[in-house]
Amino acid sequence: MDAVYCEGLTFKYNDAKAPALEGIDLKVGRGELVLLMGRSGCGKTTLLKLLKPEIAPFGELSGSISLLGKKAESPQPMVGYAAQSPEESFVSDTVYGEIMFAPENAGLSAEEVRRAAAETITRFGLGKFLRRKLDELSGGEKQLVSLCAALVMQPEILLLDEPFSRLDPVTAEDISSLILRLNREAGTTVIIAEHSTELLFAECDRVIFMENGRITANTSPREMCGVSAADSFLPAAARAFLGHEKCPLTVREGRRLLAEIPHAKEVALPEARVFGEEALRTDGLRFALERRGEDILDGVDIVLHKGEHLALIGANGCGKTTLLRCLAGLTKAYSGTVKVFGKRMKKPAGMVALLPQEARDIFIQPTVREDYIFALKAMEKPEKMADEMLAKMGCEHLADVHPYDLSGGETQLCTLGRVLLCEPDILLLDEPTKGLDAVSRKAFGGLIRGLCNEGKAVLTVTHDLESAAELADSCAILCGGRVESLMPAGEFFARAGSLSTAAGRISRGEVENAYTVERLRAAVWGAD
Amino acid sequence: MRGFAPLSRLAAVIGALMVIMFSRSLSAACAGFIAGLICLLLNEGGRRAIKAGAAGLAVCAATAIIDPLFSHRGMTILLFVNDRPYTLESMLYGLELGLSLSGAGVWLTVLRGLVNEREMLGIFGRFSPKLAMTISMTLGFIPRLIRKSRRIREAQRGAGLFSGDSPSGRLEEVSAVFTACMAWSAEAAAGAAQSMNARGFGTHRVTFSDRRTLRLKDYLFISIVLLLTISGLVLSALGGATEFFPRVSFGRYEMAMAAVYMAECILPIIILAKERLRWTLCTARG
Repeated sequence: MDAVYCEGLTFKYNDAKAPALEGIDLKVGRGELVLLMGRSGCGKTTLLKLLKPEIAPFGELSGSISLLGKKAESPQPMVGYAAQSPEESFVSDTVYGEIMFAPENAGLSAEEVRRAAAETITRFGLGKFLRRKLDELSGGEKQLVSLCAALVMQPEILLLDEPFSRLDPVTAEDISSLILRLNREAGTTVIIAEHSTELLFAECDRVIFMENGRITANTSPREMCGVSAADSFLPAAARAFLGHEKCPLTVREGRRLLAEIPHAKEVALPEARVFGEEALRTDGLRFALERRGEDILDGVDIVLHKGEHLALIGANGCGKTTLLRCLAGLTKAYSGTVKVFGKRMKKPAGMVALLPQEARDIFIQPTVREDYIFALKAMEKPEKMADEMLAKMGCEHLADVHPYDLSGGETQLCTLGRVLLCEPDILLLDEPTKGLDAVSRKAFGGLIRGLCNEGKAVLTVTHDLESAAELADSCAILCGGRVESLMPAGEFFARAGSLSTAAGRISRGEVENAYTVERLRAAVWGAD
Repeated sequence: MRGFAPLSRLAAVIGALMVIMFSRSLSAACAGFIAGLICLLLNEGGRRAIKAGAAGLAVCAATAIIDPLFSHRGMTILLFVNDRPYTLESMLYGLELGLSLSGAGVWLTVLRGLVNEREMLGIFGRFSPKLAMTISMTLGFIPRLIRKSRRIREAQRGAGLFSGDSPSGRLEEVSAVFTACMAWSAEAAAGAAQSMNARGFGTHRVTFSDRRTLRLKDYLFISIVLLLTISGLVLSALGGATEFFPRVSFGRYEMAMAAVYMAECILPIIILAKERLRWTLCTARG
């Protein structure tokens, strides 16, 4: 008996012109771990929601869906679902309340409810923050609670919508091992829709690639390396050796293969760019939430030049966002100075702009164009700039779309356009590539590079090492409230240890300076 | 009082509140106010009790001084204000009013320290699980809304909007942030509804699963509190209220009612004092 069986599944949203899913034939065996890949908006979430009849979207459905051998009908307690954003799916105020929700609504006796909750809490180590308020939890803890809330009824099928998109790499690794354990030890069938393929790709039984609502490839991870449309979605090891007969899927496999094949021993470091005028300088910036509280920023010194893109790398909670808030004038440091073009900054007054981590927070009007016009009016600038900016971002087709209906990549582009309306000289970006698919990440990177070429200074805080290595001119680590190792990006990643990119880890000891997939490919394929 | 079920703790406070609010007795109000302060002292420490006591006394002083300015009844004239008598009886009536109000405030503070939100939900959940769930959802939603509004405001300022400090600019900012929060609320409500559906909401009756059952000592405690509260209220109805006008005189059963009421207030005091003593002498050293 299959866990999931779909035949000829086609689905069209009520108000949509084209179907979101078309001719989906899908068979997932019990206990399988399946990864759904594809660009934002290709139908991954719609497919997952249709597999959980209680939350199936409204629209025209044709074809059939069977779950565990029976026609998919609501209620379906044997299917657990964890949404993309845990925060938006929480319904209670405390961790305990959230875990108890499903069993309390499942018609169980009080004793059974308590037992189900107690088992989940004990199994997944939630005991230590059981009574805490949900809004006090970290991103990883929220994701864990969301996962446990879906697991408390011990579902046979677990559907996960981008579980790693909002997590830092360390937390993402923890959650991915938990998912793997569930699949391997408890035999739970897991279907994950995810952009980030570094973590579970090699462990999956099958990988499904979707394009425009259709499944265009449904195969093993290794065979997926042969699907050209999926190239940019593959893990770094596979992308680096794409075209080789033995395509590696993990860093370990990549290292083995690299040792076997001829390759260059060194790739030349990119020439460090020389920048002119100083755009932003902070000197001994210190910030704490309370007078006697611990310093979140403990003497931050940064220099950012015109046309430079500086990436600050740091873990969750290291003070990255706080630093940006200080630089954007949204909060004040209790000590230290911020100089913008050599002058002490009291109010940023349009020279410094911040792209927030939750990009949607910026939109306050019902369509993108209306929002742009609202912002321009508020800043007393000509309204025609709205369409010009939409064109510059390549988002003309999104002008009349509600900002909440945009995909991750579209949201990021439209938000960047909105921020640029104030014509800032310095742009601060808070985790700009978080949750973006590979294609959107590339497009966004191209735009940032263009802005730097125009002379804008860009400061990005991120934990996305791959993007920092590909896009930044300079890099540094924000750790313990201080900036460490501020240097050209090439030198930074060439010397990186624990903060190496996947390509850097594959090439360590074999190829010097191959810290991006492109550089590693140059070393491997250039050697032929 | 953590050894007692939340319902017992709630009963103790409700009992004290009932008598203090309905007896209209100077002695009962005074006893209730002092007993409430002692409970606060034992449960939350001296600083909290002093703060609540000072605030209560300020309210009492204000009502005692202000009431004679509006009510001129009473035989004992202390002075004349604008040619109108300022009487001792009206002053005492104001004092009783202030003591009742402050006493109620103090007991509500005691309640907050004795029964937390989750326990309160547990108590009401027993009677209406859906109501308890709605309250829990609201409690979870409020901090999210506040955080969202702060984030939206900062996002606008970070993008160069509303940088001025003029009142009209502020108003525009508040209105824009409010509109965005409303749009987000609708989106969040849809997300929450979907999440609830995904976890089986509406398919079965909601089970009340709180594990705190009432034990013998709880039944005993609640029975005593109930008995004393009813006795106090009956005595109050039969003549326990203080007569303020034309002259101040104690009601026929006021002393009896005050004794019953003090007994009721002393119950939680004894339990809290015993706990505090145990913490001081034994547990903290163990």
